[in-house]
Amino acid sequence: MNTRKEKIHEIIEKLIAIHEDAAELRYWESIFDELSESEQEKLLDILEKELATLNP
Amino acid sequence: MMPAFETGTETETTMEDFRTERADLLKRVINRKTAEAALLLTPGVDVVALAAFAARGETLAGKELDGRERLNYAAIAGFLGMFYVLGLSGMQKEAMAARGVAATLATIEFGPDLFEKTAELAQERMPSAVSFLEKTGDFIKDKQSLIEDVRRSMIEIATNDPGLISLNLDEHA
Repeated sequence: MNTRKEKIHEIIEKLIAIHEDAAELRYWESIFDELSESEQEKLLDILEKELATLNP
Repeated sequence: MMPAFETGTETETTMEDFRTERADLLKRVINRKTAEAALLLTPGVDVVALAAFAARGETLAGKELDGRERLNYAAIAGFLGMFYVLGLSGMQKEAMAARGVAATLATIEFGPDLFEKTAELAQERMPSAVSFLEKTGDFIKDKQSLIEDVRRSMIEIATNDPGLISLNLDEHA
């Protein structure tokens, strides 16, 4: 089973592949461990929704 | 997998909407981290006001910012806010009172020195913040003109609204 961090990494790679802001997304990935549980969940939720919207 | 549609206005608008959501999330993260630092290091500082100050980047210039700009402003304002908190820690109340945010920000030298100094302060005073500050520093350090813009706006706000950051010196005594 993927961890939340792995899921975020996968989504970020897909978003960068469709030209999302790589520097910003890499920044989020770098500070992932500094986020609280709820902040990590919120980040995952936002990224999942963006990917679903751009890549239905 | 191919994108559902080519990069263009519609895609960029969608991305901007989600960047704006992430900018709001980053503001919350920075609020929390600044509040933690202020609680741990500077018990005389009004934590709520300071945390709000650190995350006001998106509206500092009084102009409409897109999602990317909002996120950059939040990161820069948060970094500078935490630099200020770290700088205050360990000071005597007289020194804290004399070191207003506008004056502090006005004397900051931008460039590599700012990031080195911040890392040193964090290492010495709040090691748990080192990693976050280093990574945020890496993210913002090539945005020099934007940093200067945010700093000018923060000085203006701190000058016009000195109550924004209040020092509760009685409690600190």
